[in-house]
Amino acid sequence: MMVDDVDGIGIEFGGARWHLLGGRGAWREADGSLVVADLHLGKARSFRAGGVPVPAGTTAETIARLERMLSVTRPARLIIVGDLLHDAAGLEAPVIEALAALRGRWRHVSMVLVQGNHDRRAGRLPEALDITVTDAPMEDGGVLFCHDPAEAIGARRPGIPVVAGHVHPVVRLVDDLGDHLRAPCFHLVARFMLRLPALGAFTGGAVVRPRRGDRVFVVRDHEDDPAAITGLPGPRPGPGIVEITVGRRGRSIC
Amino acid sequence: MPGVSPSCPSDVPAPLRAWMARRGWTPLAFQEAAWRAALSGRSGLVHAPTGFGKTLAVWGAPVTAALATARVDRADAAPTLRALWLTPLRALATDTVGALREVVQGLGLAWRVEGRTGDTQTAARRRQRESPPDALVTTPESLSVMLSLPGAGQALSRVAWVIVDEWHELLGTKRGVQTELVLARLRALSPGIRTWGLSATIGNVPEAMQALLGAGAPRGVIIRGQEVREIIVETLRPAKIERFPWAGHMGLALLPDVIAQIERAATTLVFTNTRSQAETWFAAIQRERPDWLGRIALHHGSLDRSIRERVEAMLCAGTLHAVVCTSSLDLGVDFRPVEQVIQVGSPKGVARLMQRAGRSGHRPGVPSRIIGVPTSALELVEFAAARDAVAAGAVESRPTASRSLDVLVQHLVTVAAGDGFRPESILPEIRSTRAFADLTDEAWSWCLDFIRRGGPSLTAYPQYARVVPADDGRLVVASVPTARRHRISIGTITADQHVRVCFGNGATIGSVEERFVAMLRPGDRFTLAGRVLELVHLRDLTAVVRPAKALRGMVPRWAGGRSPLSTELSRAVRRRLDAARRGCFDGPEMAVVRPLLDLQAAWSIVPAMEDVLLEVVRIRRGHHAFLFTFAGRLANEGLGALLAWRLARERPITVQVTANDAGIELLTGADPDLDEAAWRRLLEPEGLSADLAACANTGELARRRFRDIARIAGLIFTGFPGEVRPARHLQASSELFYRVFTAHDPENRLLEQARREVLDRELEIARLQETLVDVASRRLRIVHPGTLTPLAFPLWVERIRTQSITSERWIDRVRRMAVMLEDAAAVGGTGTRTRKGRTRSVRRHRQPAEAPGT
Repeated sequence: MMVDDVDGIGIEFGGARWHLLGGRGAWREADGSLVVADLHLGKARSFRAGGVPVPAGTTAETIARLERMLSVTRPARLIIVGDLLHDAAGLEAPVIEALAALRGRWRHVSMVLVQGNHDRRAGRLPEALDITVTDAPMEDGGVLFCHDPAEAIGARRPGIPVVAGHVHPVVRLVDDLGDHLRAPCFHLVARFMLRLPALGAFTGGAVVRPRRGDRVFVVRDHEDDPAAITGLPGPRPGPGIVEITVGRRGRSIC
Repeated sequence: MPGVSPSCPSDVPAPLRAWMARRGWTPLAFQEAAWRAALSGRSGLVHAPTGFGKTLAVWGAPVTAALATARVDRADAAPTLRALWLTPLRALATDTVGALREVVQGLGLAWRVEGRTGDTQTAARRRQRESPPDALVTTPESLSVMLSLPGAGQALSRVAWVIVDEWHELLGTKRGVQTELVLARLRALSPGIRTWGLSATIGNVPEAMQALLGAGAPRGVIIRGQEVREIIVETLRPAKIERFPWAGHMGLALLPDVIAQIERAATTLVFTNTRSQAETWFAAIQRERPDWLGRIALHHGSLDRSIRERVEAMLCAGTLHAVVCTSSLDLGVDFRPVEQVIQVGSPKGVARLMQRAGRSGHRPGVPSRIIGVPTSALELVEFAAARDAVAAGAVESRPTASRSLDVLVQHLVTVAAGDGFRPESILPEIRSTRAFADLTDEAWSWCLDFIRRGGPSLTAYPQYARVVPADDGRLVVASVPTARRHRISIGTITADQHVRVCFGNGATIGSVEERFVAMLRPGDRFTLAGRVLELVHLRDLTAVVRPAKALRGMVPRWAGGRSPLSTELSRAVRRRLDAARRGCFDGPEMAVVRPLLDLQAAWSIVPAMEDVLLEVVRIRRGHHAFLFTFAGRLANEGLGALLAWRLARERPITVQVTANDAGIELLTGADPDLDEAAWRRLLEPEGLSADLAACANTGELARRRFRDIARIAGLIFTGFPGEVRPARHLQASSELFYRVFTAHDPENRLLEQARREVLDRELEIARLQETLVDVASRRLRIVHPGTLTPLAFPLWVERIRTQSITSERWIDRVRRMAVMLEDAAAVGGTGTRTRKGRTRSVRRHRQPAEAPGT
């Protein structure tokens, strides 16, 4: 069923209870950690500097998405599993100021960045942000937090459950009449790896192909708004999350 | 000015005549008319349905004028470009250079004729810049690149002649719009330039000429080429149609007949409508006749250029028995050895059928013959109808394109990268084109703002600059890398991301779409260039393959290239059906298709001219409504989207729409329960554009269209040719751009253009409007057959481009759905093959083998 951000969808993972949120983060109940991935701050800016017109506003949108989840879950700790910044443009004043403002509003939350490939290229975060940065995968509460799942292998902890970002997972959905949809998702791979959807407003996605035994939780994207058709006034729908059946054979119709 | 001074009309080119006489040729009347007009300073258009002599008709005047002025030109004058020849196909450039050179040398004119296309080596291009040839054969894209180089104005200022070959191919496309802009630039750089076009015969020749010469140009001359040869349309027919043969594979049932037909002639061109179809037919012929190895070949746009060129050379030399090809061989030099032309699948349009027929039998007095091979029963009717239309001379018009701001944006950056421009002086030039004659001041300033700072709002695009003002007020490109990147991206031919397919030693075979290859895993087999290949690995947009021993592999699909049945042809089809209803089955095709139409009449009705047939069928969980308008696939897609949207507006529902040339299928899970009055309301012409605009806005259509626009307007950088993963840090998908623009710059005119293009091109709103008005005046015949009828079956089978329109809540919709498993993409279909006892399907087709109820 769809639930709002307060509860999310509860799952057991790595011996703990997690809530997957429609806002694209995962919240671990036991220690009150909120985990997000792939914000790619500064990406639009970097494009503009390269002569590709991308309108301003995506940084604010990304930060607002994060802030909404912070308000709902009130976590003790925020773990960013990589690609907070897209590249060096993410360190330029307007972007870093937006980040600092967020930090200021949530100064009681401890923040950890497990560096991703983009973060390493972007450069050092200012000390003033008070974000702990770790270059290697981080083990915490029986779970390994890393950016690229491939890095987990280097951590030499076979069998430990992994929470990762990096791939920006998206799935293609069909129903048995052939209706189809692409949607960003959480992808729980055979109970040992949880891949998070990208949080950034200017990020693309890669279609993942779950196997039998995987679980997939899709989150609402932005265009999924039937109000545009019916023309009915009303608030834009907020985030949503739904677990999707994996492997049901669709499309046999006659 | 040398080369520009007009010779007097009486000075009919004696040297040219003499040269022709030496070769045993007599000037044709239309050639003389073209020479006279051009030498007297006029511009114009030469059109001819098929046949030869067009090149000489437009090339005679430039060389004659050059001969006349050669005497006064000082020998030591700096080399300068005097004539430009634009060709839509770069593959044609080499042959054209040869043909033009032959005339130049035959007349003893000391002109250098060279080619310049995307394939020309950098060194050769540099040489051409330092010492320009007198005549240059090039493509619109390459000419744009020339305009984007500093000093372009100087280099092009003495061009006295520009000739556009195969203008009908460019007209109505974005390449045509780009060509119009480039021609306007040439007119500004070199006043007095004479413009001549060559075109096949189309329904709107005067309009085509106006687009070529510009809106404000002095009246041009239209010259009609050699008389039409007689065109004979024949068909191969199955002896008997037993069951529903509507789906894809009926065509291959005629394979033995096609092979027998190929045996009858020395050289045959087998035209197909898609690249996939060409691969399928080539493989089938090869399997059937292994002894033809090396004597039959395959030719389509996704094969490596070297392969195509080899095939063309062999075709010219007469060493090939048959070539299976696509529209890739519609144009170009006449392959004289070709004796016969076979058309597999619906001809779609009368002009295209005539053009293809004209590829055969290059002997005077011999009629052009084309042999149709229907791939479904309805195509038998289409061939019969095509013969009617050819006889009646009902040739289609080519609509002209307009208001393509993406092309204008690209052109402005092109000029800014070259010599730069002043907005106030370039605007009249742009408005002199047909495409931008009605460019508003608002749209113009938006374009300027867009290239200067991303948008009209100063705050929207901080830091962004592609074009900046120079000290003297000209707008120039902001930086050298920006200019370099722009040059690479020039052009309006857009394609999905392609993956190069090559062997381990690096030899390229061709390309397939990324989305096809993404479905493959190492070891999977597919067909390309008529060979069965096995994927070794896929890395960085290159698929390394090795030859597979297997006989069959999956056939890739390439997007695009599916043109709708033309209005002229669908009218002829309706007439044929109406006649059949009255019991008149004239011609061999109708006799074969008769049992099916009898079945249609028994289960439902065969629609009369004044009928619109609507079949409502319930099959298990789905409620299907089939509406037959015969409006062509694009207009039907628009109609389907419109009906679905109007339906979804009334209640929460998801409607899936499928369209083909004959009609549309609306599929819903719940019964929409509509009576005649309700259908009439849905089909109401009133409010069409508002409703359609709203639905284009919400559907996937605008997003799809935006992909091309984003590429052309320079949002998506596809990279330097041959470069692996180019400038990746600046790459994002057009879908992402679409989303970000929609959220943060909804007023962006490129979005508006995407919506408008959806209406004009994807949905053919004009034709749709006509259809609705037409439907309103016709009788709506609602029938409830117990099963799928012969007319409905093809729609049920062919659901490739289904689109969903929904007003359901996201949650309700998503809950119905499942994730596609990695090993079960879909059920059934032609992409199915078995490996190790496991069936996997690649294409999302429904199984066409058996119809329910038979």
